[in-house]
Amino acid sequence: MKSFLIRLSLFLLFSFIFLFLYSRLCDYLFTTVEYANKAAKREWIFMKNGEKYDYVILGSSRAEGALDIKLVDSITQRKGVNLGVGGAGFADNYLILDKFIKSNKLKTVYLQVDLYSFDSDKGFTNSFSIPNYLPFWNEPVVNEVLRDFNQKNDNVLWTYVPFTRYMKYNKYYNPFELLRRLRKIDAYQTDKFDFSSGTKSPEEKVFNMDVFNTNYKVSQNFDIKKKDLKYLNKIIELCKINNIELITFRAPEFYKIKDLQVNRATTMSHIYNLLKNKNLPVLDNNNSIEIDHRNFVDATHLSVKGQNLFTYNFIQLITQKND
Amino acid sequence: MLFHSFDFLIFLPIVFFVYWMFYGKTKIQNAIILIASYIFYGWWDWRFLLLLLVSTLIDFFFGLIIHSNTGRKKLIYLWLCILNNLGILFVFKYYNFFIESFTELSQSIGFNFSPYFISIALPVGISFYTFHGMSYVFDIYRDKAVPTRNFINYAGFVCFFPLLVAGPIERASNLLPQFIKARKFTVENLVNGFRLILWGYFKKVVIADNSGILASDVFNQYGSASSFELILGAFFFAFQIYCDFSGYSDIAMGVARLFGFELLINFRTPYFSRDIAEFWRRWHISLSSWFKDYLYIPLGGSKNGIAATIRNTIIIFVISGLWHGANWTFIAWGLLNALYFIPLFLMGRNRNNMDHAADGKLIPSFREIVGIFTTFTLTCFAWIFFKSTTINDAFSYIHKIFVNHNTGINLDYKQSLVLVLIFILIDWLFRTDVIPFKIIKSRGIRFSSYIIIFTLICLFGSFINKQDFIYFQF
Repeated sequence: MKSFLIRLSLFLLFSFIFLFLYSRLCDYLFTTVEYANKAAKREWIFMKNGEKYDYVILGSSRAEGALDIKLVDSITQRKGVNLGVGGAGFADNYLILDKFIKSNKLKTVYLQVDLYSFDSDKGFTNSFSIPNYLPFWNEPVVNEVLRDFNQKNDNVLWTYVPFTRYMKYNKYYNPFELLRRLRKIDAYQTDKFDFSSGTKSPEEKVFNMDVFNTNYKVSQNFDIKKKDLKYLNKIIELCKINNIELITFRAPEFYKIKDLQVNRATTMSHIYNLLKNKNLPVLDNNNSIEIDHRNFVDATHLSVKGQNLFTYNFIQLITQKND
Repeated sequence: MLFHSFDFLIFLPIVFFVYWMFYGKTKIQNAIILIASYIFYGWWDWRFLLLLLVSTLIDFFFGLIIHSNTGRKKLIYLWLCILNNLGILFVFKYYNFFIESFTELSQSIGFNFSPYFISIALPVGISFYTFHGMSYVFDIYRDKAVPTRNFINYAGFVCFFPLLVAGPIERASNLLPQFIKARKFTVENLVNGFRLILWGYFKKVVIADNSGILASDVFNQYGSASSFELILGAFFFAFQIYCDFSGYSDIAMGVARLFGFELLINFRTPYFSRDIAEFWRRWHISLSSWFKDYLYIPLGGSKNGIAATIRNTIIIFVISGLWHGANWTFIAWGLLNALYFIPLFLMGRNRNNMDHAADGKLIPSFREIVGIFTTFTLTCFAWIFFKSTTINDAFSYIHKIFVNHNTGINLDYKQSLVLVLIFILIDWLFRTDVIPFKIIKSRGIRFSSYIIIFTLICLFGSFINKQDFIYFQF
């Protein structure tokens, strides 16, 4: 029996040592080595280092695909980058900005705000993308946000047995993925965006109204969620500390979807009051774009034509503001 | 409670320590097992505990009654008991299927009526514990077992938590005596138990769950999948169902050994079978032998001429299919296996391969490789019926394998394929022994292999998309 217990302890000890070393390797490799095709937008952002920007765009896929940064830069003679990421809510935006300004310099942040970003549980934005931040678990800011969104059991487990976080999300962090990076092979799944500006090119299609009439039937109520507000406040605070100007904007939505949002008028009015109280300017002049379905690929994402129109609109608004 | 849940990770050590605290006190240990088994089952849905209790009580009392009677009366009581058991199964598992099929048939000949459907969840493991109970009364009827007068012992045998929801289907003659005599705590049992559990978890969370994701992807979108992806879908489902079920059986056998019990073997590397007859001697052995002993042989087995034997073979395969679920797809699966089996029987070659493939050798002969490949291909083909939602889907799936010109669904299969190939290699090495790892003679290599398998579970186990054991639904 004694021999069995010794062997069992040795088995657990060796396994844990191996898995601990593996998790340290993941910490290192997944923060320093990219896939050959720079597959993930967040990683592309986190790898940026020592650059200077006049402005960045922060938000979800609605921001990522709404603004053509190259067009803005060519007309305004400024240097910008689009940090919009699919599914990102305020918590994600906060971490992206925090990590970005630790290694880069910037003057202005244009933050996308809308109903969905204040109620991220509703599915238009994910409340938070945990797997993407696992390698940064030991960074205090990331750790704090992860704990906020994680299950309590996981927080305890990840603190005392760190490799278990890679175990849970081993779909993204298994040895095959590790090898793909080391061998500079493309990732299976890729975020499609322009590597110089961060802008996502819209699909070459136009929103099909038949799809809208059949698929968009569910009416929804949107609220302002405490958790989302908390991370908006953190973004404001972060900009303040780093002396960065923060301006908000709303990306266009197809006008008919607004009819399905039962309390839209009230909630949007609350949001604008809230932003006003925080002295945050809002850029919102989308009506002319929102009435035409050809400006969209779906109810909330712009088409090529829509992106172009919105970008010119945006340039006009920021130029007016600067004047 | 699932074997691969956090709850079970807490449950098992508690029951283990409480159980062995009463070393030598068999009655108390049996009571502990019974309570633990009811907690284990009630964790899923406590309301079905009553059904489990009723089913247990029926077989317990009928066992005593059948034993105390003789002749015609004995037979009548046996039939009453069978009807009770099958009645429970019918109501909870088959009623809706039969009534639906009957309605469709009636409508096709012009009779219309509105049937009453029962809206109730299928109790987990109902087919398993009903068959445990039935084997008990059958054995008493045939004077192969003596009924116990101790309800706790009997209930412990029927509800023993490692095998309660997905088998192996135990026999009273094997397990009940183990409840009566004192169990010994041995290091050998402990070590072998852990070996089986480790290997079982590897099969379940690494192979079955990862293969299951791909199999479902293909079967759910078979209309858009390419021919190659459709073949892969059947291939991955073959490994999902094998590793899911045999993984469960391994964990069940391992857990039982921790408590001093030895369960029946349920799988013996079936995918290395050289013909279908061998496959059925190696696949879900406890069910196959149950049907053989309690259905095939009472029907006359192979002693009443070729026609009767063919009839009996078709009956047990079809009922075996129906046992898996109330759907025509399962019946078709059973029928197809009967069609595979009958030619072997007619040619007198159904008992050709009684030993292991490549017995005493590492590499199989060319003839064995051809046999294994052919049997595996036939099995995969039959699994298409098992996995499909309807018979039409199954035929359509098969049709698309041959005539599909789709570009495909972009199945990301390489990683899972590598894992399955690693598994096949290890399973081949372990094929001669019930206890995995035992074949490895060198202590150092054996010890390292435990660590490798454990780390593979951690690094490749599917922990987010955890899937129930497939056989829970049966």
